[in-house]
Parts: sequence; C-alpha cells; structure tokens
Amino acid sequence: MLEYVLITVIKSLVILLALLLMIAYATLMERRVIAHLQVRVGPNRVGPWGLFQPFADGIKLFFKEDVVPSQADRAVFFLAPGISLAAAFATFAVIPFGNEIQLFGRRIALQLADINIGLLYVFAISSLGVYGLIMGAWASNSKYPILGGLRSAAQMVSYELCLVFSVIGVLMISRSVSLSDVVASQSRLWFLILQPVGFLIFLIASFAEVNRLPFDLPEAENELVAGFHTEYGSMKFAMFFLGEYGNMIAVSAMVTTLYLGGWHGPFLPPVVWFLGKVAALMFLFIWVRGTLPRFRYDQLMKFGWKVLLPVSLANIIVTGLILALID
Amino acid sequence: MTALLFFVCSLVAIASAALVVSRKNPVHSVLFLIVCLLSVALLFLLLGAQFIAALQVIVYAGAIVVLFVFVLMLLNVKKETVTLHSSTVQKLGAVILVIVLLMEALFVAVMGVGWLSKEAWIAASGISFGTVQSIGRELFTRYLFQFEVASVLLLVAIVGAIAITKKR
Repeated sequence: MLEYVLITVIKSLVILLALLLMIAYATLMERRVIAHLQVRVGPNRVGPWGLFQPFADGIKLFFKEDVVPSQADRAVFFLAPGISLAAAFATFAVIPFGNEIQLFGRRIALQLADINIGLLYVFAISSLGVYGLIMGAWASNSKYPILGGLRSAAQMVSYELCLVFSVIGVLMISRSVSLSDVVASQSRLWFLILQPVGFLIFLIASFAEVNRLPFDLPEAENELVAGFHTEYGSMKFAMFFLGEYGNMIAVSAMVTTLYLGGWHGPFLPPVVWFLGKVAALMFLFIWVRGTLPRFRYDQLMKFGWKVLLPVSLANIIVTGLILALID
Repeated sequence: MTALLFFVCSLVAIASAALVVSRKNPVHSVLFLIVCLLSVALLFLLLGAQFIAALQVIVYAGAIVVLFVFVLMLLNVKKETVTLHSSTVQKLGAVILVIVLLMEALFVAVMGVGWLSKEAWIAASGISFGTVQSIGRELFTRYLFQFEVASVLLLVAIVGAIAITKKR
C-alpha cells in the first residue's frame, strides 16, 4: 500500500515537472516558429538561441504587480485561474506515455492511472475546464471579459459534442473506453488510417476546444482586447496561460493516443515516440495559427452544428455498418 | 478509508446544496451547484459506478450547468432583486417539513441497515452495476424498449424546440 502510494506520488511529480517544462518550451517554440513564418527572428537574446527565454518570462510574471479590479468578485476572481490550470493538468493522469519499464526491480507502467473509463474521464475534466474561463470572465465584472466568456461557453458546448461523437468510431473498433486498451489495439495499424474522418473532426473540434486560431473568438484581440482574461495580470494571468498551453499539450496527447498509435513505433523507445508525436502536433497548432484567418462567430456556430456534427454522426453509422459486415 | 470519503463527500454535498438555495447572488448559487454535483459524482465513484460518475460530471456539471451560467451571464443578473415575501403560514409549513425531513434522516441513519457495520461496505463494493460494460448490456437487452422510448421522446423534444424557435 505504502509502496503503491509512494510510486504514484513520484509519478505525479515527474509528470507535473515534465509538463511545466514542456509548457515553458511550448511558449518559446510558438514565438520562434510564428516569427519564422512571418519572416522575423523572434526572441533569441536570452541564452543560446533564446533557450532561456521562458525562464526570463516566468521571473517577469512572478514579480509583476497583482491588480484586482475594484468591482470584481474577489473569491471567484481568485478561483478561476486555479480551475483552468487544474483541469488542464488533470487530463494527464490517464494518458499512457509508454510501455511498462523495469526500474529498481519493479515493473512500472508509464501511466498514472489506467482506469476503466479513461476517455470519459478526459471528457469530464475538459468539460469542467470551461468553468475557469467563464468564472474568470464573470468575476472580472467588465464588458470585454463577459463577451469573451459568453462566446467561449457557447463554443465549447457546441464543439464538445463533435469531439465526443468523433471518438465513438475509435471506441467501436477498440471495444474499450480505457486509453491503454485503445493504444494496445493500435499496435499494428493506427486509427488514423481506419478512422480518417473521425481523426479530422477530432482535430478540428480540438482546435476549437483549446481556443486556438482559427477558433480563438473568446479572445479575439482586435474586438475584445484579450477576451476573458483582460482584467488579469501577473501570476494569475500566467496561470491562465499555463492552463491554455497545458490544454494544447493535453489535446495533442489525446490525438496521439486515439489516432496516432500512442507510444507505438519502431526502433526508438516508446516515450520518445510519444513525445515526438505530441511535439509534431504542437507544431501543427502553431503552423495553423500562423496560416489561417479567424472564423466569424456565426460561421463558427454554423460550421460546428451543420457540418461537423452531421459528419461525425455519419461516421458513427458507417463505422458501425462496416464492423457489423466484417463480423 | 471508504467510510471517511463517504462522510466527507456527503457533508460537502449537503452543505453546498444548502448554499445553493441560500446565496443571494445567482452565479454563486450555480457555482455551489457544481460543487454539489461533483460530490455526488464522487459518491457514485465510491459505489464503483464509474460510468455513472463520469456521466454525472459530463452531463450535469459539464453541460447543463454551463447552460445555466450562460443564461445568467446573458441576462446579467447581479443580485436577486425580487425578495420573496413569505407569510407566517409558509414559515410554519417550512419548519414542520424540515423537522419531518430531519426525523426521517435520523430514522434512516439509526435504524437503517447499519452504516456502522462493515457488511454494508462490502455489499456496496460488490456491486458492479455502474461500469460501461454492464450498463451497455442492460440498456441493450433488458431495458431495450424503455431505452428506445426515451430516445424517441428526446427526438420529439428536439423537433418541438426547433418548431417553437422557427415560428417567432
């Protein structure tokens, strides 16, 4: 019992620290890649190739003055960034990073918790994550955050549906909701090949779920200043920011697990494959941000409800029919 | 351990439910409602009903309450402006009902199949009605008819909602 608790605590700490490091370098990667896409240089002064830039940013955010608007609902205002951050990090509890490894004579699974309802847990957590955003928007008691919060609530509820429906095809093939089973059934063939439509829908809907371009309406900077976190500064802003990048990495990890074969891959160790796939998807996120313009709000809703949802339902029916025919 | 978790979750659920009705600010009420729903989800989890717990969070805390918050933000309700005027009869009725409810709770707690005895926990942990597999099997075999009726009902509700908005 004690040994089990100890191993779990160590695993959680390792995952948390690795995640924080990944988020730090995701911000640097974003700035550098966007800079190169726009024929600029990007931050390259702090350390070699700007590699220490995230730490400089972190120190800056730590020592900034923490301003709370006088009309804000203080308790909710303080709570919101924490919820955002916690929801983003909690997803990683069920994602399998690699195969079992031998360490000090013990077999350790590279997954914090292999629960029966892994996928549903992820959806539950991500549906709670939206509260951080809405609460922050409401508690700021200011018009731009409210507008941003309203938009994000509508957007997240709409696209969450497509996200869930697109995954059902994968579940039908792997016959399990547990993420380690989903990965195990992709040892030969990635679900990307068996479920190309589902993959596309999941990818598009996850762009909307993490509020990234072309779906970043909640924080459209030229109409809403900065959307829901307009009134936030200092460490509280940083926590929202960490949550946002944490969500991006979480979604990349989910796409990897569900469609790109998880940690499966030849020659290299499983963890390296997993991290490589996640990094490639992160690059895709940044690439899309540098390439595509933003949707208009009515277009966003129309696209979600009239295109993505029917297509994902059709995907379920077709997958079911084919599976029934094979049987 | 399970008993301790059970008591903590139940207390949080009851306390937050009380706060839902007693807060003046509707947004605070909704936030406490989320806390209440989450602690009920934890109670399901303690019973081994993982699937139901996940659904509780996804459907109630994740979707329905978001709609509540959405409406509250759209209407921009700051404080409850209308204060309810309750008559003496209403107050008396409320007090009587509360007493009856408390007596009932006390009766169940004392006479009910002993929450102090260990057998109750073993019986609870033996249940496996709440896993994905068992619920799926039950839904598509024994309760197939009810399941289909419920889905047709939902479809009718959706069509009705669309018809109402189209009319103007």
